[in-house]
Amino acid sequence: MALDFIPGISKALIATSWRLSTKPYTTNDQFHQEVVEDNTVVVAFRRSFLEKDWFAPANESSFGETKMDPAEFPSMISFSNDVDADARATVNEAFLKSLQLLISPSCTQSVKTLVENMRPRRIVFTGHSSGGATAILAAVWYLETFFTKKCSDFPVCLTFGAPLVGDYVFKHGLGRENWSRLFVNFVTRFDIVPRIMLAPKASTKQALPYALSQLGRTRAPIQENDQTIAGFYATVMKDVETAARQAACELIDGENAFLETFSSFLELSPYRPAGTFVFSTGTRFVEMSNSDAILQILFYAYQSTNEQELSERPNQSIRDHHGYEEMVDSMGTKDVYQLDLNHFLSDGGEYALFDLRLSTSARECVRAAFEAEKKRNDNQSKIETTITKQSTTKKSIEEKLKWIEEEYKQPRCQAPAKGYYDSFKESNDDNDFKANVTRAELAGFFDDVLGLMKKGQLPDGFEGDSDWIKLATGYRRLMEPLDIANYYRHLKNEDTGSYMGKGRRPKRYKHAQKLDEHDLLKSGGTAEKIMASCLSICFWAEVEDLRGKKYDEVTNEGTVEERVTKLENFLIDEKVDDHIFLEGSTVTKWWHSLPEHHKRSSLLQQRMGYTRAT
Amino acid sequence: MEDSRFETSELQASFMMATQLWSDSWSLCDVADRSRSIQIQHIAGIMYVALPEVEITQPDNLVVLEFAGDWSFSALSTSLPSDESPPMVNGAIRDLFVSAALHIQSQIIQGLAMEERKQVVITGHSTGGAVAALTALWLLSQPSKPSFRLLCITFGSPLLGNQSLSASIFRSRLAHNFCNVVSIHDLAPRRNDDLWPFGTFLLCSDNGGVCLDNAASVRRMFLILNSSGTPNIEERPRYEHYVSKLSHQFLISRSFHGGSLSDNSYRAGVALAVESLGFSSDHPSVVSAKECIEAATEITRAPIVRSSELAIELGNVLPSRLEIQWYKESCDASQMQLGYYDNFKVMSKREMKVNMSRAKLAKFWDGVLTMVEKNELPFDFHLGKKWVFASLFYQLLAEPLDIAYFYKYDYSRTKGHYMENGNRHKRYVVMDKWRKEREPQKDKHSRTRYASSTQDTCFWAKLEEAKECLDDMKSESIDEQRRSLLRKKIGAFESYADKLVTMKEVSVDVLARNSSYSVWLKSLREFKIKMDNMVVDDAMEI
Repeated sequence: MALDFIPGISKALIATSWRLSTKPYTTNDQFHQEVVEDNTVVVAFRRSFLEKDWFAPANESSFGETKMDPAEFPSMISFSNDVDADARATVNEAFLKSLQLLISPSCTQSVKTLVENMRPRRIVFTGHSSGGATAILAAVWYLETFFTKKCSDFPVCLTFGAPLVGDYVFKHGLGRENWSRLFVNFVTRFDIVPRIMLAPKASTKQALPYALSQLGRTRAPIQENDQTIAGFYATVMKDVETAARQAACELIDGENAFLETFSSFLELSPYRPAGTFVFSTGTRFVEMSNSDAILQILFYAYQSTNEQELSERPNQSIRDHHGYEEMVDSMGTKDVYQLDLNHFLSDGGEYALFDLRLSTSARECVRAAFEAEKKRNDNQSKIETTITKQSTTKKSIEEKLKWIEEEYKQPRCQAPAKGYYDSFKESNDDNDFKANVTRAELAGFFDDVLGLMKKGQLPDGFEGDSDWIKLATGYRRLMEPLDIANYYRHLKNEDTGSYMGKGRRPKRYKHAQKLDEHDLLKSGGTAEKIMASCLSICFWAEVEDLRGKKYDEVTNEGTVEERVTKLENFLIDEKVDDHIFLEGSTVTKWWHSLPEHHKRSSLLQQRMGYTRAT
Repeated sequence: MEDSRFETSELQASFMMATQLWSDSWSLCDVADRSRSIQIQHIAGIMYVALPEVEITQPDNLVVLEFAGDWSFSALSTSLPSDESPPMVNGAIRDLFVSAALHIQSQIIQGLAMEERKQVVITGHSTGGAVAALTALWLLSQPSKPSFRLLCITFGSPLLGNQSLSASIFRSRLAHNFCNVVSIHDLAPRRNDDLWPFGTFLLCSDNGGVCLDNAASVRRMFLILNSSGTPNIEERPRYEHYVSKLSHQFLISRSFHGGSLSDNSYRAGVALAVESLGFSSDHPSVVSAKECIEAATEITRAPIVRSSELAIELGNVLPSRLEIQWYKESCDASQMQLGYYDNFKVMSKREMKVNMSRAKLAKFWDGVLTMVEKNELPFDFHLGKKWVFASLFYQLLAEPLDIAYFYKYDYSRTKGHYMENGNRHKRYVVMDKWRKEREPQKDKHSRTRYASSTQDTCFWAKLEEAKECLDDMKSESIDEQRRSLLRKKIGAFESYADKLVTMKEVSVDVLARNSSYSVWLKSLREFKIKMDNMVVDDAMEI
């Protein structure tokens, strides 16, 4: 089987990347670059074995982690984790800093300049060890900042023995944007570096500088029976074990109250594998991209079968960090086994698991990781079925939306009706009731989907799928006015305050709006356009709030007069539906209730058919 | 679906044994035992409190747990069914607890003052563990929850109390704070069959461990161990051995010795678990041990499955609720001006239909309540936002109709009023309790318009009582004592209702021109005028 991780990544390109990743530096440069075939540029980042380049000295968190700035990395967040406050991705601060140094304008040799000047068709980010960590973040930065489908090919990131860089949200963000496949991490079986970040700083602190210095020695042989290394190795692996076992328990038994309490007493590493991992075993390569399964492999592939083997592991774990030359050389001659869901379901991944010498309980854990993936996929297909397929007892989601649009909304949006908002708010006839039932059913569906996303029970890519974003946006535009009408019809504002206030607006709409905004942002939408997209629906809530206020009142959001003017400007500038201005519509009635002196100078006069009282 | 299930009891045990938490706890217990004194230590942001083993010579002598006073366990009392015997604990352990608890509490408060993460592990070996558990239970059952997170880890401790204690800890949702490590060779925890376990049990042998977290399964496993005659080996060195051996063997992969292992994950997991308990595959107790572990998984899994089924059912009954809501709105808008409550009493065709929806919803919610009561749902199920709101909306709409139905068909002087004699359905009482449990009443800002549903769901029942009082008042044949009582009652309702109306806590249906309330108010006014006109020596004060 050939290496086909990503189409177009040849063995030669991997070899070049490896050579460049380990090429010595004679200057203070932080990366090497080389143009290869077909206008492809390989950028290899410098590795470091100094403690400060692994854990930022001033960082006080247990794993040296920090949050990514959404202004710089707008995709590295989770929209569903907490709808009210975007969960930002967590990454290792030292690695992030080394990237920031390279993209800052003050840097003499900056990646930014390189990208801007060369405009390569394709760019490969690569690195060994900590250089690989920088490469990962550089690739993310490039994707966020420069990448547009039109003018270039997808970048690629190839790492060799790189430490873990980011957390679950980081991995989720890459998955949502469909970028995961661009990251390929080569890992020799016993290399300790991809495991180091699973241990808290405190437990490795003492031995780390020495261990790093040993890891940095490429030539001189390592002293046998080095006690410091043995201790370091045992400490790291103990923490890897805790992390892997905790993750496995959570995969299988996520709602166990005792485990939750117990785990809350532990310092658990936030870092998770992201992208594709290629492990080398003795006889072949095992390629996998299920993050949960990779985490299990990182622990279990390390187990030995007897004491003799165990005693050799510490040194092997250091040696293997430099074993990539051999791995690169044997590419093309060794088989590549893809340990993905399909293979797993067909043959249980026997070959790969055998090659990695996994024990029975290890296989169970790997199997649990794939079962969880299967469940996510199944959830997705169930949702897709509910959207499109109607049964004898139940209409599909599409049917329901169509009914609201064509049978309910349209007839009510032509004079002499008063618009579907007000018609629904008054709810006088059977169809209003029917629309209300449909509204509640749709809400139930979208709430359930959001619930699944929140619990990570859908594939990461689900939220990034353009069909889903389209459906959710269409749903939001059509149905949110009805929810607002319902809110004010039942005077919920009296119980809990304004619809747009904190914690009132249903999360399904907030979430749909976020996906829409993110989509607009990625396709180059301006801030104004994004703002307008939200207001075009929520202005109903603003009208309802202003109805209850006196013109000269001062509210937390500014004076009523200012708010009225702002709303009027919006109604004029944006293309809002005509039915909003029908006679009897809440908007029209509200506007006419404004004081005479306001109306006299209002820009909405014409729209409202206002004639000055004489 | 069996092939996609996993057996977690062994996995959970290996996870726990992989942590520092369990080895650090044991080390400190060991120091406490040797020095015969309470040990306190801070390790990696966690405060450990270890209680020493104390020799107890008396037999297990149970005493009733107090719900009031200095040593009260008030959180346990709230969920106590009346037909259950009171929770009881070992008297000797209780005495040890009383002598140590205040000291431990003040040590914890002092010790945490400087800590950023407020986490406490209370631990102990043998009787020390039992005192630790009772102390932890006491801290957790104070009226105000402790300001720190608490985990209790015992090693080879005798069981603490009776079945009622175990059940009330489970019902009070405190069981997940307790972890009991028990060697299969240790007889101490399974010596007395009358005592019941609570919390999670980590049973360990030389081969590994198994976790069980429900009392019935733990008891069953104890019986199996008793019958299989595992020898009692001196305990302390055992735990030392497990902690050092099992937690350092993690880098050697474990192979299964019992022949070929099933391809089915679930069965393979069960086989591994049984082996972890030290049973070889030809051991006579293997079959019953397997059954016990399988049953335990089932007991743990069932609540999660049930709660997701319920969520779907809730969606299915939604149209019924919306129908009632729509009915209310059309009543409120109707020319008859009867209002929702009185309109329903008419019981014509539409009301019959609404009544069907009412019955359907009642059936659904009764089902939910029964499950919560029997602890068949996840332990924090009824505190989830979704269910709190769903039950609130249901109650606001449905209870007025229940009251209307009651006064139309069921009420009689002997049966008593809606609010009396348990006539009010239990589901509403429970729902009221849920909401109180979830969030204490907070100050609401005042309303500018009438609420969409009357916020006191029993408003109409109170009105019916006041109505009867007024009717009685009008009859001539009542004595003075009764009259003054009625007067008081009417006055109380009048000011209560008036306050609700002023606060706009009622829905418009209350104020509809022909509603029972409006009618009552009118007749009260007329009655007052009539009384005023009659020359009076006993002036009405109402």
